[in-house]
Amino acid sequence: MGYKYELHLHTAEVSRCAECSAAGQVEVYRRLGYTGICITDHFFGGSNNIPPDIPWEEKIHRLASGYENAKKAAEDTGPDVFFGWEYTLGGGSDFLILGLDVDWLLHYPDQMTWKAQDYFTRVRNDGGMVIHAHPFRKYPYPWIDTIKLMPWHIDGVEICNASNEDAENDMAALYAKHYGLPVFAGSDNHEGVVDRYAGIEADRRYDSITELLKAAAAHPEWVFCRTYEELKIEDKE
Amino acid sequence: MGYKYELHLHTSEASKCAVATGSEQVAFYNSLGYAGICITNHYFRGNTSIPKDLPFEDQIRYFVRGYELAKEAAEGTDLDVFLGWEYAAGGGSEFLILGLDTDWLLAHPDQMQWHPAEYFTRVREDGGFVIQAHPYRKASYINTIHLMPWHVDGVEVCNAGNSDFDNEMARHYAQMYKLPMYAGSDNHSCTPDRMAGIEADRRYDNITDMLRAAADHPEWLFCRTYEELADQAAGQA
Repeated sequence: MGYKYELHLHTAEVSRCAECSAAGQVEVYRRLGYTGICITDHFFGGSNNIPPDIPWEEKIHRLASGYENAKKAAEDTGPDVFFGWEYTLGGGSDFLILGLDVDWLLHYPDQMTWKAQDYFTRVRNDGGMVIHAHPFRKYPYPWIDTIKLMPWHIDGVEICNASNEDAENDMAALYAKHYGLPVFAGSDNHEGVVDRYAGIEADRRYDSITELLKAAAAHPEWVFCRTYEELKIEDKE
Repeated sequence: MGYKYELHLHTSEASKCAVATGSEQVAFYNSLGYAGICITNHYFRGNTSIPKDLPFEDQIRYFVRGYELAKEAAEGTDLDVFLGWEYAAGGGSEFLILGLDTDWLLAHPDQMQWHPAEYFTRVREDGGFVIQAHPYRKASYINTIHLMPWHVDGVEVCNAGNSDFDNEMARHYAQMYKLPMYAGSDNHSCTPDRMAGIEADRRYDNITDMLRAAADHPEWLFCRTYEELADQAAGQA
């Protein structure tokens, strides 16, 4: 059995659409034997519960609260918890930003004025990674009328989003293949226990999420998608 | 030999990037034995030469002049000329609008305020056709690929000016979303190396009838060199 990593996860502390707290998510993933989880709550412009009219610094600390609660909950038991966020272009086009920290966010209070391509360039120049989440997510989400792809500005594609239909994931895989983009996967978990999980099953534990992602980029076979039943293991307690 | 139709053509009267006039294009396509051509000049927000400081009605009359001159030039020949336009949705994403007329344009002076999804809905409700032109075009001014599979009637899977890679991705896109496939030369001069279009079973008086028939006949798509087309036409002279 490999070292499982969740790359796409939401907490109720921050994501308006999430039902499970950070501590609740930690417990689910601990029991499923995961090695690491990335907290990727919705960023500004997306579905989060951060008031728009508070100072930037306070917004960032609120954004990070899901991650911090998860980290605290996992302190003695694991899994490893990594910080990320789900940046939105609007209209359902979302990108996972991984490998940067709260200080990076605090450092750029004007970042919401950057064009998307500039945003991704700066993320990547500063050591972060950009993964296009569910690129072919389907209408009839009422706010999705356009699919937006940025193959020249990202580090990879989420070719399996466990919450999406197989056809949508197939298109994502084809897109990644044609542009030679690394492939990743994530559960897009908002609820804790869900029917299906997707992620990366790596060869070892990684202290740095970007190191994991760079290694996974060369190992598309590490992408997995399994049911909860398949993943369930004995309660460690 | 079938009845060849050009779906994507520009004239210098309205497209800033075109070097051939409407009457020059007519002579060119007549020489190649085409049955019909669609004049699809760049529209507002695109690379158009429509003066910005004219009243809307004068702008439209200016815009359709290329089509009207082409139609006059084609009188007495076997070439049918149809009005269309290349609508720019922003960011390099363009869509061929076919099957409507000057009166439709004049009737909607606020049309450029409509969101693209609304624009296409109204075009289609009023009997027009929307074909996404070169959806995967790569260019220095394009950062994002925009796809609108739920709002179009078809996809230009062969644009004779695009790379084979771009066209192949367009084809995969059309296949995955079960969208009819079309082709066009994106001709801006009378000297293209390669041309693409539809080779239909008969002459069609109405462009939307032809497009609906072609939707069921992907084998009608063609992409040939100018020399091949010229030899074909000479063989039948």
